[in-house]
Amino acid sequence: MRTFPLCLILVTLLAGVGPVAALHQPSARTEERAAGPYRMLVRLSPDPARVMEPLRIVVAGQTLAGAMVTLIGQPALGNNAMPTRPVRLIEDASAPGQYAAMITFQIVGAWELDLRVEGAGGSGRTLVPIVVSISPSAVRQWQGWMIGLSPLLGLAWFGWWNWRRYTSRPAVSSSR
Amino acid sequence: MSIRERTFVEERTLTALPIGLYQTAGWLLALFSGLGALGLTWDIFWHVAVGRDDFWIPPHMLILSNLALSGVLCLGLVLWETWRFRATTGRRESTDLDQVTVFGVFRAPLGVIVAGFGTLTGALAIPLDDYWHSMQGIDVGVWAPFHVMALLGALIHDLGNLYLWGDVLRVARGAGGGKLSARPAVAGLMCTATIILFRLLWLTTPGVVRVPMISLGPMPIMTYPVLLAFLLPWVLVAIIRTIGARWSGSTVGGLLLGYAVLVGLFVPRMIRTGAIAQGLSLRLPEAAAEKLGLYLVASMGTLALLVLLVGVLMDLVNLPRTDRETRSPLARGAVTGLVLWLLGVALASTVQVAASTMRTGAGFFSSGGVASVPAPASLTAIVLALPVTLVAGVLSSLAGDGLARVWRRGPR
Repeated sequence: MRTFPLCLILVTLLAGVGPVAALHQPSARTEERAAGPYRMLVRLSPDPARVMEPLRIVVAGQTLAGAMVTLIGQPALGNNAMPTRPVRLIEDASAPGQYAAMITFQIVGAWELDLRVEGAGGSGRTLVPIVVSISPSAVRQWQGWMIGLSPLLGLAWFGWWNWRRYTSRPAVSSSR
Repeated sequence: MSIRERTFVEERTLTALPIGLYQTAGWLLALFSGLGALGLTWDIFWHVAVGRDDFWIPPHMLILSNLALSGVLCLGLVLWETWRFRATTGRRESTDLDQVTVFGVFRAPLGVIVAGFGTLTGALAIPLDDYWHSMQGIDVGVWAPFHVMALLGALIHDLGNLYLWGDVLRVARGAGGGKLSARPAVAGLMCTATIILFRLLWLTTPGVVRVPMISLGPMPIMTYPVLLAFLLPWVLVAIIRTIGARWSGSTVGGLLLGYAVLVGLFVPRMIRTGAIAQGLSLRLPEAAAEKLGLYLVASMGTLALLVLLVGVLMDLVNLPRTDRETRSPLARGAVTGLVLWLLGVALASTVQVAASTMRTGAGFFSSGGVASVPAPASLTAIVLALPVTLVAGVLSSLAGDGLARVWRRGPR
């Protein structure tokens, strides 16, 4: 029975998690960009991007056929992260000049999608700014800290119990 | 052999065997913890140098395997000791160690129980941390909810091991074996304290640059000296006053310096070897990657040197005098707090000024996180930190005093 209040607290804390994600309707964003000599449309979905969820990026341009398109996520100002590994976009066999790839961001904040193109017309580069936000179903910061620091309660109880136990018995063996 | 003689021999056998066994268990727990602390450092710098693409990276595996080994050892000891206690129908304990009953069923030395709960806390923190990262992203820092929970678990584990060694030391001294038989327990206490201090230093590091000040209402307070005064003295005071030998605190400081330098020397090699084994490349620029070893040894060595200085000071103010105790615990704690304030302010201010200077230039911090380097602590924050640091030093020293008293006194 003593564990019941503890379970109640945990359930209350986790209640905030809720399936909010079910209400989230993913949307997309399309931008027109120029990477050197190449003009292209860049489509991102979902928009805004969510951390730890794959972001699909589609790049399309008439002059892009046969080119090599790579993508690196570069942390923008204020983002304490490292650049992501380069991802090569795959050309759609049924639609020449259209490339797609998935990229997953592991850190929340401002990023820039660094798109690099190498093709018959030479090389080009463009930066597409995005903001990666936390998952809508995430446990809130204060809830996380409450659970994370809960062992301190155990330590405090142990200290109290141990001291009470120590003071309630006579000293018998000690050296020095 | 009469029944009386046989019972005496059985009692001796029952009593003698577990002490040796628990000494071995104490060393194993310290070894697992030491390897886990090495894994912690490896993990932090792996994330800086390589990134985190997968949960199953080498440093995580080192931490997890040592956590599992500690858990299995604690569980085995609890089950074995419970069986022994029940086999003798609870008439007497099988060791002179301080034994407790948990959940009305399990019977084992208090240190083992505490270490087991610490391991359990760490094991709970791992899936929670993974869930947290999947929702919030990876936070590049020690102060994240479940990183702190895992560190608390490791600290509780090490506290349990200190209890075990303190108990073994008391029994060894009480058995009349003299200094010789007490030596392994003294060494065990010192090694375990070294690992605890190493982890506590990691826990304080965000206070150097990332969170230079905290606000208590309208008052800004410099973080680092307060953290040092709150987290370090209790370990050193408990060790000095339990062991009671001259220069115990300094020895622990020296051990910490050696351990920190060794870790600093090994970790860059471990990062390169692990990355090659997993087919990964370093994300840091080559120039920064080459300086990683130097940076690690210098930074960790400096922090350990700080503890060594504090250890020497605490040896001087904490050892009981031969005739009588003349210094009050409050005065001893206040002196410790004052010295930690001076050292903490000097170290943190130097690093904070250097980091904010590098904000506009190239260097180790220049890849990504430059703009997030906060401004150094203000003069007001430094001054206001003094009374808080003194109070923290006193409280921490009193806690260490209390622990030493508990460890030196027998269970019955």
